[in-house]
Amino acid sequence: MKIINRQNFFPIVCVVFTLLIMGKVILEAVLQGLFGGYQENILIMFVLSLLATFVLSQHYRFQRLPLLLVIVIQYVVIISVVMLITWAGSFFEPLHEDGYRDMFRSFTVPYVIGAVIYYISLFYEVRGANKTLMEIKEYRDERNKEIG
Amino acid sequence: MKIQYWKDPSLEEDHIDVHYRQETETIDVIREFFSSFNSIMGKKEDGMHKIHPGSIYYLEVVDRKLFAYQEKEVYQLDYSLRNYLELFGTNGFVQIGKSMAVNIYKVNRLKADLNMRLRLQMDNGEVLILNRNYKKAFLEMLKHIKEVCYENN
Repeated sequence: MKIINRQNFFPIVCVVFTLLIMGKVILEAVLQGLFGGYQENILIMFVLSLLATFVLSQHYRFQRLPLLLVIVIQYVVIISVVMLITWAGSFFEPLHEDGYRDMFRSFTVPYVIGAVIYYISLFYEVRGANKTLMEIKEYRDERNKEIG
Repeated sequence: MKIQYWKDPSLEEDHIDVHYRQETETIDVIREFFSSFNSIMGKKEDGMHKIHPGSIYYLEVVDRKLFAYQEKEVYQLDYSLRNYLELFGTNGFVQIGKSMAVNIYKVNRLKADLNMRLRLQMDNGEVLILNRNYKKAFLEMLKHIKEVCYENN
């Protein structure tokens, strides 16, 4: 049995990459006492990824709501937590004057790009499905004509 | 008419092929007879009726009862939705919501609105909502039917 296949290839690359980077950061901190801006950024990005994935995974709970509203709700929840973490972090380390703006951009830009891609892919999917429906109908009409 | 019976234990499924030169009354009777194998009984106020699964547009569970919607008529069926899909899923039925299933052959087109909600416009003009959780199954079923059509061609 193939353990790594076409479907799980990219997720496995992501998992291996994350383990290597996190292992490196943790080892550097433990063995060499290195914990600066670089290591901190990596950890923050990891926590944000966990958080964003968790919020997105709750998507199924909002089946009754229009998807556009769900996307907005999820965005508001995640960006609020991101800002909260940034604010909490400012008590431990001084925050750059553009810190909030940078965090806002770092999250908003990929989120909007992802939402737009999803939106466009849905319309392509619908177009493909309509084409298939048409082909099936044509096939059945021809078959019905043959049968009489 | 020559009738032959072939016993073959290696067959995956029992099947009947009817070979004919032209449409005749006998062929019509044979067709009617075999199509009755797939008929189900539907309940209405005036009694029980024999209906063909292919004539059903969609199914809906209301108050734990399964209703079959034809172009204009509605019948109550003595099946659970899951049970019905197990028996007649191959006839083009696929679940589109927790308590709804649609006959793909009766879907005219799909529409996505600005809220990204998928709507199924039926041949009789009715509009059903395709729940996002069931979108994948719906599209896979569509793909499968298309493949079968190409194989038969």
